[in-house]
Amino acid sequence: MKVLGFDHLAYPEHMDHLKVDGELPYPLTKRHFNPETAVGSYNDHLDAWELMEELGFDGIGFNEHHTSPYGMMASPNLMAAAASQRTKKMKLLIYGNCLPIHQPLRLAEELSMLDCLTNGRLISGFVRGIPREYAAYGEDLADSRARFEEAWEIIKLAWSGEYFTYEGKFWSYKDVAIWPRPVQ
Amino acid sequence: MPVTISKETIEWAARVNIPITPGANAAQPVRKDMIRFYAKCLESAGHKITPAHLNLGASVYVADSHEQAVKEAGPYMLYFFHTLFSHGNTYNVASQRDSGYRSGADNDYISPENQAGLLKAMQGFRSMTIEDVQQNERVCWGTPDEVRDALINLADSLGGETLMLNLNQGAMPHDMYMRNVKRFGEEVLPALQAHQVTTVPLD
Repeated sequence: MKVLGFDHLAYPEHMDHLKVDGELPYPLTKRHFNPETAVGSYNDHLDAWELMEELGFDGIGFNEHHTSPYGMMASPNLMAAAASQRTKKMKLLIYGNCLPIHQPLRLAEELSMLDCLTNGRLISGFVRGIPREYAAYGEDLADSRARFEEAWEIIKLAWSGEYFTYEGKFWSYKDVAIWPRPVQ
Repeated sequence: MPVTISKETIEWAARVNIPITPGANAAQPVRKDMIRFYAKCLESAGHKITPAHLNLGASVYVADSHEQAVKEAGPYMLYFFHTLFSHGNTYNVASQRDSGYRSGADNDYISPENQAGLLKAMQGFRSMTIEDVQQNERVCWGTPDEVRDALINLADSLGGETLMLNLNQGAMPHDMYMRNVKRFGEEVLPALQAHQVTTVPLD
């Protein structure tokens, strides 16, 4: 079997003391965020992933979530980029980028960069995301599936074609050839 | 494809022939329904399900006894479910359908006897108790041997060859996370990597 770690990278300070009527306030505002805590936590988790590599794990996975101490990986691509410089063998699993709320061309480019940075160690997963994220990014939940499938088509074209042109409902591109391209 | 639940997502993943991660926190019978449906969809698209099509999520905590594991990891798991998991999110399934995020029939492939279990996994986590947590097959806590056996049983019974393991669910202190990674890596990992999952049981 292949065994990968999976890390939510939650904000390390527990927040239960902030609950009102059993609910953690949302949005959870700036005054509750301690930059020093976040700085230490990113470093701690990178240490943990480095230890996983030393111990022989097959990979480490990251996810994407926004606007909550649930997870501090608003960009899993940034975390994978950081991990790419602390590891040499493990697969880096992005599980995954939230397609409907992002520019697919930008994602195709960043993921290509990551595959080069890791020399082909990237595994790229994609998700629809959860309703909280659509509210934050101002996207309509009813378009979620259509945006997901269209973004997927665009990313595949961007990775595989000599160049590509695409006219869609949500995004359109003409004569685009991305640099760099994926290693895999 | 991470955390696959809806009918449409499973159908799409089968069409493009990519692996899925069945269920989020769903219990084993619900996940088996998902896998059976995915296998049918793959077949309709001209593909055959293999262990490489299934990534399985689990929570892992290694201690000197099962009781110690529950005592140490339990509070963090409950913090995850009670506070973090649903923060600011619309997790009520009916509301998700009203918004257009879900279709009205996106779970109709789940067998009638497992519908309640699926709903509990999707929207009942705020009332989850430590007893509920321990009953879920994806929670593999205990001695190194217990963790190993639970993970092999999970992989064999569902037929997945890739495990995605959460070793810090609920913002554990860093030294606790590192200790868990180290013990798991040294005392459990080699046996798992030596184990082969050869079939996806669809009974």
